[in-house]
Amino acid sequence: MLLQRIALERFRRLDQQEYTFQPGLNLIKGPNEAGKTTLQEAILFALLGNPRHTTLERVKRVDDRVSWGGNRPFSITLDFTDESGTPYRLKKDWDAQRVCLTNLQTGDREEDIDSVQQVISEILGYGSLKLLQSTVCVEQDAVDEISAGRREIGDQLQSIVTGGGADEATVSAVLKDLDAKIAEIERGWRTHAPRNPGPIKVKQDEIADLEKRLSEIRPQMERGEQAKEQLIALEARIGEIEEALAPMRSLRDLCDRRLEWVEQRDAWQAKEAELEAKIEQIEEAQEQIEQANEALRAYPGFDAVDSEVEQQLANLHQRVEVLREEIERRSAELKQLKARQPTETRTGPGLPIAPLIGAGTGFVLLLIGIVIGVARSPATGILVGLLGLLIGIGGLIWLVVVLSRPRPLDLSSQIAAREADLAKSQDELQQVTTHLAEGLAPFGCATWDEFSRRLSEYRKLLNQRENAQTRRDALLGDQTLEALTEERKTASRHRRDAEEALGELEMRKAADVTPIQYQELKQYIKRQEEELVKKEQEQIKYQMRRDDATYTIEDVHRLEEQKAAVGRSLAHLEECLDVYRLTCDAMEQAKEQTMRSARDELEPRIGAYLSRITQGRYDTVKAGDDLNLQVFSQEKGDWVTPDSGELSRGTVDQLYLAARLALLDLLYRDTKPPLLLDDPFVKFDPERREQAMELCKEIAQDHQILFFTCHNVYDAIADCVVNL
Amino acid sequence: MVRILHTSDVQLDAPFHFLGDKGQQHRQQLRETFQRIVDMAVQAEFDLLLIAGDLFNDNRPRQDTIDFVASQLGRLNIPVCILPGNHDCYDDTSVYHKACFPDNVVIFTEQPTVREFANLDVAVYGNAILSKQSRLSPLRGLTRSGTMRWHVALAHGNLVRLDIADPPRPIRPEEISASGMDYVAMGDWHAFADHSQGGVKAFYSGAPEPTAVNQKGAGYVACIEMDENGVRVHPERVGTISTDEMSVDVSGKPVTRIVEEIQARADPNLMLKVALSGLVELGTVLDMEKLEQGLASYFYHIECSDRSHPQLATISPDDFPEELVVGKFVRLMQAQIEDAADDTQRRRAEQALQVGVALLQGRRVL
Repeated sequence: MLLQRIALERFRRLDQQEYTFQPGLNLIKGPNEAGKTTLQEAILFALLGNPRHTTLERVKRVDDRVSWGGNRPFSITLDFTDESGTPYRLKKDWDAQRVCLTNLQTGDREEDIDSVQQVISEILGYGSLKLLQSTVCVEQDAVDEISAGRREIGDQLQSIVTGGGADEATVSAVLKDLDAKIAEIERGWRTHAPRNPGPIKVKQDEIADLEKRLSEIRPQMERGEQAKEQLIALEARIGEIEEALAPMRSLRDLCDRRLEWVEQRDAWQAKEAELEAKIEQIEEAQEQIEQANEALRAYPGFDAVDSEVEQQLANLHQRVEVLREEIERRSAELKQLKARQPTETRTGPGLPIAPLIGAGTGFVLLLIGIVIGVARSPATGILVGLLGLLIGIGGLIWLVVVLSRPRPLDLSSQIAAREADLAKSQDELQQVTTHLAEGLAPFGCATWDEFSRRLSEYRKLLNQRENAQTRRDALLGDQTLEALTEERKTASRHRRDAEEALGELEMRKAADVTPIQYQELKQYIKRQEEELVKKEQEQIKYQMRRDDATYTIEDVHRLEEQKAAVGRSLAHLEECLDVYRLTCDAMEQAKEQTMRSARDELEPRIGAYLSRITQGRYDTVKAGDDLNLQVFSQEKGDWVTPDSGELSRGTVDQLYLAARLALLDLLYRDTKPPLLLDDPFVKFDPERREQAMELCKEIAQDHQILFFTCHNVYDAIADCVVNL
Repeated sequence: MVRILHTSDVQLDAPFHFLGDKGQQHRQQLRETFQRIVDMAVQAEFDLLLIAGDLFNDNRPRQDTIDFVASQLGRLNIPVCILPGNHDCYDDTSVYHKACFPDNVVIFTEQPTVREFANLDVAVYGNAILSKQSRLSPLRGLTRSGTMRWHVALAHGNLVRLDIADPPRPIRPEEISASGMDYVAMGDWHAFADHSQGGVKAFYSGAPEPTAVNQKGAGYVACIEMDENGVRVHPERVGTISTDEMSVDVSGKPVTRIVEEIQARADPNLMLKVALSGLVELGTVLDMEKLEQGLASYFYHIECSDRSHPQLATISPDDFPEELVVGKFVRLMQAQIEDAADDTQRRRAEQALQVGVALLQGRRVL
């Protein structure tokens, strides 16, 4: 593309201005604030702007470029030719919001902005402001950055090759940022308790924590709810049991009451019988007492018989008997004595010959036995000895008996004594008998036997009366007969009451329950009550469990909702991670392919340009993966980098220019867009500047250059000078 | 005239995972709306309240929720018929064993249950759901009987439609028309809807408050009037929260404009589901999480999904020259998008393309 003329209306300070250009090196000269940058921008607006948009690719605002004091947007007319020399007139009117591209050769007009821009792009090579600015525009600041070492040539090249912007990110930096972001997100993900976890790990830990809390409280809540359900079931079951038990208990109670009544009745009945028997016995005893009293009246005086009187009378009676026996004995003795008297005078007392012979025989046999035993046979000796002993002892005894008989010489005296004694005894008997009779007379008894018999009868009556009294008193106790009678009436009444109660309908029903049925009923009730107790104990257990449950379904819901929210956030993070990884992979691939291709193309081109610029001093350039350049120093015999200090600042500038030109060739293969250089060498020293301008002159043979400057030093080599 | 108020699917004490920390607030909202239904029954002097299933979200609500329902129903001096649904089914663990409701409340516990209200001349029929897995027809065995003038059935189940094969608890249209009922009070679906068949009025009252973000049609109760002129049904709004969906074409729009468009629907009582569609320029990264967070304060709840696609058809060589890394990257990602095995892969590739282009163009999107 060759720019020929630009006409500006209301474009900032350039209103109603027109400038023409030539092929080659065009100096656009003017002092500061003359409008050099404005003209540059106008050219870009003309080439890339859309009159319907308020910005140029959202970078440069249209209303910032309106002439001061004006309110109408600008219009720009640009005349240019394409590579084949075809002339075009491009008019863009931001006020009318219209565009028109006219082929001045054919007269064809195009007023559709997209079609117009397509033509412009084809002629220019690209239609992107950013790309144009980073390729065809060489800014002062960019050169300064390289010169001052604030930026590497490779970085700038990489920026351009990355996305087309010289000041923007390089793909290496982007990949580094992506890797860092991925690492940040993943940090600690697969590590236990990392110190500085990344967001995924934080979310995972948060979810794990929530799950842990859920796992703690959910069972508690479940236990509480299950406890409630169990309580309801228990309540129902207890109700069923109670309902079933109620009639059974009623029947049992009825039976028990009936039993009580029966017991009462029986008890009262027994009591009544007991009392009746007692009363009867008392009355019987009373009658016996009265009978005894009546009978005792037939024994007058006997109440005065005490033991002394009885003893006296008994003694008298005994003396009488003794005397009678004595008299009888003495009489018998006397008779015997009298009967013995003749017998004993005819014969005198003789020697007891027989006993003496017996004793002597026994003694001899004893001796013989001893001799035999010693001389011949002990057994025989012993036998004979024993026989002798026995006979001897017998004789001795007979002897003693005979010697103890009384002698006949005392007999008469004895008879006389006996007769005296007998008479004495008879007198005494008479006296005692008289005394006895006198003693018995008050009792109406003639004889001791009669007295004794009557006394015995009397005593027996007394005894009977006493027994009856004792029995009566024992039966009465401390009560009276009236009291006992009253008690019996009461017992009788109670018995009748019990019988009446037992006669009621319910009780009759209870009476239908057999003892076996009653026992079965009690056992059934017992079992049911045991089950009730168990159920009630379970109730207490579940009530405690229900009351202990501090968490409700609300707590579970809240945690689940938190967990869901964190889960969504985690899923988003994981999605981002996937996306970043995908981006990273594709970008690595794109970088590798692009850089390889760019490197392959840039290396020879930069080398060629550098060689031209340095007159062959440096002609071989190597580009690394990140387009960092190395120059082969023939002097050193090795590669040197721009930042090593082994290349002069001028050589570094030249290398930069060569790289920018090589990039132009790379990107604008078939087109030759005009270059807009904004006083890039302003800080160069004269020698460097001269070299650089020589280069520009070279380049201007292929690319039209618009060189914006405020200096006059370039006038000599310019093909055209445009004064603002 | 007999006036009946019909509601269902209140689902008290339900969890709302999609609402996150706002779940508790929404449960409170359900309570307030239930109270509002009772207020309506009192103030508008309805004769009968029907709750056609799922009054509770499950059989283990909080005790104070049960007490709250009992106290609210106790404010009414009209009969209340409650049909256990699939959420609060009448099994051994049923909430209705744990609840002590006032005498005016009838829980339908059998299959079938019939209750006659002689003072209203109304008989109410229903089959309690006895198990969460029940697949029986809610209308089975319910036939008009007795001498009451009006016959109303409670049915908690799914209307059989051609697009839903073999649903649980199916309610067939022919069952409705054959029931002989004057009105079938339906529950289980959360949007108010008319499914009258063959002269029998049959309506889903819908849930009085939405329980999910895509329940347009929730928030109503059905008001029924029955007299000699027939049976008339109309919805009454009781819900505070509404739901809606919107699609935003993001083609050519900056993020700020997209946000403005959504913000224009700002409503603190609106659950809004936003789907972004259209074609976006390369390098435009739409972060749904950040969008939702940024818009959260304008709505009760907002969910954004990105259905947009990068504008690949008209990739300009000017913008993405193949000689540059960004151009090469775009073309690589384009190939991955085309070769994607499923929607998820495609989506990931599209997102990777947008992120990559944005980064290579110098934008901070990480």
